[in-house]
Amino acid sequence: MKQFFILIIAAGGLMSCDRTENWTTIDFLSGTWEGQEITNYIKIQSYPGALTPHSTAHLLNSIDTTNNTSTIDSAGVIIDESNFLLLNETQITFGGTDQTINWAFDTEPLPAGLEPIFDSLRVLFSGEQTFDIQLLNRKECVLYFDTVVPVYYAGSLVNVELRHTQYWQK
Amino acid sequence: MLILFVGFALSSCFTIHPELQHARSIDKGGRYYSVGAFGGANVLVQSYGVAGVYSYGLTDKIDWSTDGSFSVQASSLKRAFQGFGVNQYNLSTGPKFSILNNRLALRLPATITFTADDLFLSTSPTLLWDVADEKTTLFLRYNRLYERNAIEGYSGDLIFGFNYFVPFYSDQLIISIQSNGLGLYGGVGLTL
Repeated sequence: MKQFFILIIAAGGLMSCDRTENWTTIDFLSGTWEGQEITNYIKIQSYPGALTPHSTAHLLNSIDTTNNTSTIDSAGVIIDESNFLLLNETQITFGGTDQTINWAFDTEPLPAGLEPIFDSLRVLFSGEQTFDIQLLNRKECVLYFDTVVPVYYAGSLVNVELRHTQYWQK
Repeated sequence: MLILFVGFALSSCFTIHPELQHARSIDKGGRYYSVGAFGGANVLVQSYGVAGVYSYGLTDKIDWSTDGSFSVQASSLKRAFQGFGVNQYNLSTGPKFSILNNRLALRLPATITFTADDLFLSTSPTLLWDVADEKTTLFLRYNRLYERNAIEGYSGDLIFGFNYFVPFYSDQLIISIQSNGLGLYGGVGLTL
């Protein structure tokens, strides 16, 4: 009886092992990720930056590592699909679409006067964007990029810096 | 007008920390310390932080007052602890002149703010007014940036608020509320 219990405990222990020691980035990426939060930190020349976080709890990101696609689902509706290329173990490039900024950026709480900035950011999100994989394990994924976007605003060229962070969980 | 509005909307990104002191001057050679924690939110983000003040009496009417604060902006306290926030460090130092029998004071500090790899220099003239037998101090602070922004129309924040002092053993508990018109912030402090 004692041996039986030891066997059960040992088997349970082995079955609960993650067995991820040989996993690479692509293995960790694969699967469906639940959105947690996206923060966009916008900094206009000489201003202190504005942090604009928004919840992405309604989003699911299905990463298909066979076809290298990312599908964004919001409450059962596919709202965006893009391709990705894993450059190395810490960098990944997503080919965004016109839809990407709609879920990656929350424009609602910001004044309408910033529309020229959003127009420039829309172009940025629609193109190819390389992210740093800041954190990736079996349960969490943090993707980050920062860039400077020149924006023609009120008759002059202004540099707008964007620091974009996506937080996903499984 | 539009540019002014845009500038004002983004101006809320400086920390809105409490003053944690009276208008009343301390005696020559005297010292005053207070520390506190504060938090609040505007339409974009929540802020949490700690602040402290140290004053030294240069004369009976003039103090040298230094205050510092550390704060983090994030969507919530949980996210701040998870590292999804933006840190801000703030240090102000300068004279405080008390007038009108110590009921009114004008602080004229220079301020350094460090946030997200950027350093901002400003001056923060602050008017303090003791009312209700020094149980309450109203304050008005204008944090004016030294460097004007590329987008004209923004050069600083106007913050208003009050401290309410409650006796607490041999010290005083400070309850503080302040706003810049876009967000509301509150804090609790202790004079030492």
